[in-house]
Amino acid sequence: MRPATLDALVERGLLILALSSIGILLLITVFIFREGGPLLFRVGIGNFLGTSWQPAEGQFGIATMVAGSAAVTVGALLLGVPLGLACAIVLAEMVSIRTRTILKPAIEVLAGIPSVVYGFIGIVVLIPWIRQNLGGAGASVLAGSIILGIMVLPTVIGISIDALQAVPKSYREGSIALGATRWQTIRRVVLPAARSGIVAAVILGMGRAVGETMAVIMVAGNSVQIPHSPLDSVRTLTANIALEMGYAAGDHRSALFATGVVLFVIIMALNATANLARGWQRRRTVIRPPISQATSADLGKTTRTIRDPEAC
Amino acid sequence: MSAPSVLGPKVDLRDVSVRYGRDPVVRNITLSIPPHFIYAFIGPAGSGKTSLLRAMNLLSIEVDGAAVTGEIMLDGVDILGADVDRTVIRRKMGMVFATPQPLPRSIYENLVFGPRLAGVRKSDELDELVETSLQAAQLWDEVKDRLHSSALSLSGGQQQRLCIARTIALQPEVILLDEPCSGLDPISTLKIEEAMDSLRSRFTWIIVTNNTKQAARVSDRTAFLLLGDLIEDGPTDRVFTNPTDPRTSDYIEGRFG
Amino acid sequence: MLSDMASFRVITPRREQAIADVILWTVMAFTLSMLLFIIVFVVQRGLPGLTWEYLTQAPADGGRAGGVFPMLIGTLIVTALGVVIATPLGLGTAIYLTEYTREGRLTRLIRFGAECLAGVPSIIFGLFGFVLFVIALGFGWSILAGGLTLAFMILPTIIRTSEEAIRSVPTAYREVALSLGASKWQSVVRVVLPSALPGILTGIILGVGRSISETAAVIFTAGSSLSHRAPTSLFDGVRTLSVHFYQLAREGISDQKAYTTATVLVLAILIINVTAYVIMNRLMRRYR
Repeated sequence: MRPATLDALVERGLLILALSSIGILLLITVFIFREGGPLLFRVGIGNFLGTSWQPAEGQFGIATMVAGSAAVTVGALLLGVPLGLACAIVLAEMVSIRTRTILKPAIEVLAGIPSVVYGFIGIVVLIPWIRQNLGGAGASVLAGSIILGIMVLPTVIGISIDALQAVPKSYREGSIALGATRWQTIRRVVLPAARSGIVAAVILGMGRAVGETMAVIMVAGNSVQIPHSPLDSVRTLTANIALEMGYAAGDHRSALFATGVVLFVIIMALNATANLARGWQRRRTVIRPPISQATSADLGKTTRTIRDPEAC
Repeated sequence: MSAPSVLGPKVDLRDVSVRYGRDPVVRNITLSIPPHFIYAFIGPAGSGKTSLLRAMNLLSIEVDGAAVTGEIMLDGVDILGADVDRTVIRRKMGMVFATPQPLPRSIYENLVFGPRLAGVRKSDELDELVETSLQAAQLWDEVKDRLHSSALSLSGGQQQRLCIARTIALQPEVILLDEPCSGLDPISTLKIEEAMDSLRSRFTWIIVTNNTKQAARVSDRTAFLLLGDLIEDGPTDRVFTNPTDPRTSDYIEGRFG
Repeated sequence: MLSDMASFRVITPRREQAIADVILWTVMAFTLSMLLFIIVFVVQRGLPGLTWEYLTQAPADGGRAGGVFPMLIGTLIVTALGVVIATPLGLGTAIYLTEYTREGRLTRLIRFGAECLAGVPSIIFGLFGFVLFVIALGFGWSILAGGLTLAFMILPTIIRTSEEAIRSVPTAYREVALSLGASKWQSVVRVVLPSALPGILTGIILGVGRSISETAAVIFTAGSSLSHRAPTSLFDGVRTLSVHFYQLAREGISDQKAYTTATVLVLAILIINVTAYVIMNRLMRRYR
């Protein structure tokens, strides 16, 4: 019975592949934690989160780097979220399907452009401009935020579009049927319904910003200091690892791994939260089948918002 | 397998039960299906008709994860036995599903999929199989000029006849049909019933249907299942005009369902 | 009446709509032009330098002159190595998880793990590859270390996208294949995989794109040594195109060469993605 034995062989082969993959995934996780974990315990979490990063003297406080990462990430979101959300709204609600099928993939392609290219543009265009017009050295939180903001745009736009498109058509139709304009519908009905998905988009954008290495090395300055103004130079967690890994040894190297552990945990938490948020939107969107069954609950929702004194 | 017995039943169910998890959906069914008959299973939803049918070509076990006990004999050999080759069984017991399910390829490709797996390679043999199967399913005239267009471009009724042709192309001995005409327009339904009638001598037909009138039109024998139990079975005429069990007459006359 | 109430406000809903439209469209135009500007800016300055010599010659004078041939070859080999390792592993895992196991805690756990690792920043993979492949296993800065690291990096992505693609194939197709006499493996190969192919290929192409763009993970595993000839062994260190570009940019060595290298990178990504899109569309039409 050849097909049967072939089947059994194939199943076994695929099992081996699957176990190998799982083994690799585990290996990566375990390895990083194993290299960085002990140092965290030896130095103590408190010290590790301190402000003094002097590897030569055994001081491994990453607070300045955390501040640096936080600063450029917040800045990136300040730029990327409004722009990205606006674009997502236009693309999801206000253009024809044909335009959307061209533009959405085009924007997603931009996510694939190497980060070093974005960093390069920061070096040749942004940094001189900042130096000339705003002062300082140019390489700064501001530069990092702008470049990172641009880099997270495709993520924020793409996932926000998905979130907006996941809102059932019946919600919009109900609102329009009650006399709302398109913008009122978007603002009062679609956006609230897509809220969790948009939150997920922002969180994932945040994850991308936190994880970015090369571009920030090129434009954010890399000074180990807590920034007091957007024009200050900062070093992010990722940049720290990349800059010092080449010559670090012993405890120093372990400290870099420990930084890696911190990054790992942060990104994991961000991804998990984003997934939860996406799940919320999916679960909260209950689609009622026949139009006749669109109950007063649906209508009540839009009626309530129209009667909202702010709306008219 | 032993040579088919001319006098014995084609398919023989002995004390067959099907369960998913703990509760059986089909309980201790014993009946015989003679060769070259059209045999109908009727009963309200949830009576286990489809589970029983899918057990007959082993899909219940492989895809649905069901546990099937008892014996299902095909020409005297238990298909639930240990060293039975499922692919051989499925070629002998072809199945047509409730919603037309053409594969996302051309009409031609749909028809030759099964035969190719069975080892038929020569293109003239395949071409002939395609033509005879489509003619048997009463679809040849409508598609003979566009055999290489996508099967998904056909109407619902045509797709279902394609699925029947696809099954015929396997050259099976039994054809299992799971509510094949639900959702089809009356003309397509009529064509399918005509096909079944004209091919009576080539195959044994086992059809599960929610439509009692269809069962009355088309079948030679009928079995009535209710909530997993076999209530009664026998020649269609008798079951419909003179049922022995009051529940049978209640169902047939629409007092519940 | 509601319309009467509306006219009492200064900003009527209709004016609000107009204002919103203007703002939204302006922002969109600004964003799009900004994104477009980036590409145009780079390509416009780099295209003049993109000559045949540039692609086929070795670098000279630390990168100020000559071409990027060794870097091109290095990039190709490292990327190919990564994809060749990750694809069978990832695809096989995805097939096993969806076709041969039942949905349960184990499969959900694996899926979660793959999703997590797909989001891990590349610098961490660089760390990992450096310590494991370069140091511990003794490969040194080499194509092998780089390829393996890239493979590990794109593995989660391939598992995730392949699994999604396979899962989205309707169950009915599998049942039809089985009932036409196919064995389990035959149903997978002849029906499920062809239908899932567009999604699977997307994942692989995403992986290729990511490998080409990757700098942080590659610097620390394949090295950054500038070489004048194409690599000859898996243990040769190599400078990939993106690493070369990074060095040019950071050290300010040659702006012209930097622009041209960037152009090659950008065009490569664009071509890969467009090809992926076209292939996907054509496959979708055939098999869906």
